[in-house]
Amino acid sequence: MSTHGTPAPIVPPPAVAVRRIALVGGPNVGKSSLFAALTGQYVMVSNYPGTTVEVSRASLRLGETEAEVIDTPGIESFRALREEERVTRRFLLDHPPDVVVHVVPAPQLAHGLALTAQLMEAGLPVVLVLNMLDELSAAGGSVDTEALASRLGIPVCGTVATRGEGIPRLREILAKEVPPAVPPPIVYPPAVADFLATHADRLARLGLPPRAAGLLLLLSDPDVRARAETVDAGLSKSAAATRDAACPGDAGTAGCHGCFLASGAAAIHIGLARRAWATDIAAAALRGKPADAAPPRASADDLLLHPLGGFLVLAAVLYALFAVVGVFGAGMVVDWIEGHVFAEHLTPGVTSLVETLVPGAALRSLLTGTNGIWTLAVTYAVAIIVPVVGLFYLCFGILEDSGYLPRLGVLVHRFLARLGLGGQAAIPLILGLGCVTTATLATRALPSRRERLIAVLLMSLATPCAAQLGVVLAILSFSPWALAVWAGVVLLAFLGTGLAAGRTLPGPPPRLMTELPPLRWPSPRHIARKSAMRIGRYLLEVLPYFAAASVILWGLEWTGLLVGVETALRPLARLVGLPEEASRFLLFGFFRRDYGAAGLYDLASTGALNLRQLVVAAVLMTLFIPCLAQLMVLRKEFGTRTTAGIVAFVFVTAFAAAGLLNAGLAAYGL
Amino acid sequence: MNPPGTFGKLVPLETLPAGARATVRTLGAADDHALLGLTGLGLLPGARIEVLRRRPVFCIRLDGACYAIDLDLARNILVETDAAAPAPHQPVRRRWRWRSGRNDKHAV
Repeated sequence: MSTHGTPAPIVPPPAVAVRRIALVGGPNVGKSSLFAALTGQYVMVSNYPGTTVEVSRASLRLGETEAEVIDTPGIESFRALREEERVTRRFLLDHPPDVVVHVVPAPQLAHGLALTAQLMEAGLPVVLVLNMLDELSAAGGSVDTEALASRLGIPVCGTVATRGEGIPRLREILAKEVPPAVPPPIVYPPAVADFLATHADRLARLGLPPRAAGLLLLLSDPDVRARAETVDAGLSKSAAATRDAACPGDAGTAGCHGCFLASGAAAIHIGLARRAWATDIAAAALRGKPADAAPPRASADDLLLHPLGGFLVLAAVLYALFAVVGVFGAGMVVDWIEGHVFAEHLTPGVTSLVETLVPGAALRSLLTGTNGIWTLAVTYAVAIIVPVVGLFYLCFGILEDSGYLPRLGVLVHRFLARLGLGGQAAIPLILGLGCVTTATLATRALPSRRERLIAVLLMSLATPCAAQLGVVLAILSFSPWALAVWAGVVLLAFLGTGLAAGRTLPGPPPRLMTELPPLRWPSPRHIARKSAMRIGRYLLEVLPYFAAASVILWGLEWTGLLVGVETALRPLARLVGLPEEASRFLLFGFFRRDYGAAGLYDLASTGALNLRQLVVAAVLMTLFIPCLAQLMVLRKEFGTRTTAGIVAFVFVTAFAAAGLLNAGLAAYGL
Repeated sequence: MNPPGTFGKLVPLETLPAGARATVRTLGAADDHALLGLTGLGLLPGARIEVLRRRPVFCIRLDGACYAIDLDLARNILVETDAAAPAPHQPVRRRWRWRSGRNDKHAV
């Protein structure tokens, strides 16, 4: 394990190692745009905090040397509050990169410098990038990067990442060696400064940069505290004492005017000290920027956040989504691709090709039989799933880039608060309409484990993914009543689960604390690029699953076991009043949600189900089982026990709801 | 517009009308997590803020950026309002505002 922060690096990097350049910064400051501008590789860029929840990498050629650029999730401060922030901090402290590029939006220089200070305190080799220079000059300001560089003692570079401005200069800086930064001269309160000076040696033993470790300990960081408890319990105690005495006023007992609660004294005074340093430096570097710019008067937010108008806009947005994805995508596009392109042209061609080229009935049936790779995997993925999911991502991309999603979160915060969620949870929940797997990862941006749990519970149970939504709309669209019953039951499951979870799960109450980024017009080129990448990734993710499912089903069929498995599932199908053929789509659903959806679409188009059975099957499929892909993500993020609990809950609730619905509908003679 | 007679007094952020400008004086968040979140945004004693809107949640302007925070948090932030300043959009907005007494009922 490497120790760092000391003047000389203890573990010299191996000679062959690639230079590692990490992009770090607050949420939504343009790290991913800069990443794309530097490497030419596209990563997901949106207009809301929390787009990047994982570390992504790409290689970069800098003159003679090869470097690796790493995009990280946004952090407000080194004291991580959310899972995505912990991902970044762990990355920075456990595998310190050769260069840390701190991206700061130029209009918010003073705010950004507070994090620069923390990166410098950790002894990281920091380069400061002032991004969004265009927005600063639009507000009538400019910044003196030379002055800033000499004041901070680190390289500074101005950029407009979305237009590629300033990138050549940044490449020059990155090509050179960047020395570890010297901690900036921040004047901390006496108690804090004493603590850092007195315990420097003991802090160094925590295996982290001592100054950063000390400050994190004073800010009650759970990770560093746990480390201190095991390595040096005495240190943990004196940190607690310092924490209470961190206020320089009133001998640290009652606290000052600013921090009358002693428990918050350390956070406030450490923050104030950094802030004073940052404001001073920013003031010296900024030129001609009005100190307190007037806000725009008539803003679209007056409508988007209006208690009535906002919901009307939301209803319009949801209707547009429904029209594009459900009616146009699942209805017309799927009909045309599946019924025309595949059934009339591609499938007969492929079948005859296979018959002439492939020997053996077994192998032929693996490719083009009822459960063959072509018949199930390729047809399902390309003809049924991709149009629906693709159109959803296209619409979602527009919403993302406009900056509407955080506003939606604000609008529904009070409603979500009753379900134990903050407004920020609206974004992963809507993302769940695309694919629950990616949405589960996106919950890392939520502030507490409790909120993450409630969000994934709601997603696993009562958020239909785009493929399911498309299929349900397609098979039920002929009867508005059936559609209404389906929507009602799913909504009921959503609300019931949310209300119950919000009341029973322990944890802090939901909070809303989020930036509202400026509204921007989405660029069609960017949306097209982003959607294409998402669909590509989606296909790459689902095709192997579909193909594997085909092979397994084929194997089961040839060995005669398929009949056995379907017989075993029959009681489940019968329990909810579905015909025996339905056990097959349930089996498909185990592999992937969208696979089950496509199976149901197939079953429904053969006319094997009556209206009641269609509604029940639609409800069952929507609520039923988080698919294999999501199970794996759930296990990675929440552990086996929690995942097992979620699965059991979803399984029981789904069958109970479908069974009750079937009995209820039957009682009314449907 | 700032309510008359509030200049120089400490009041909860929650009580300020849209358009008011103030300086943060005290943060009394309910727990560490909330407090660290607020200080992370730069909401510290001495920070200058402007209330952009009160509904559906509090939206404030700080350092040229706009943040949304819920009423519970806004209640525990004590601010000192600026000397009364004219707020041009006040008369137009008034019609659309809900009665101010409703805050507490909606708090969760």
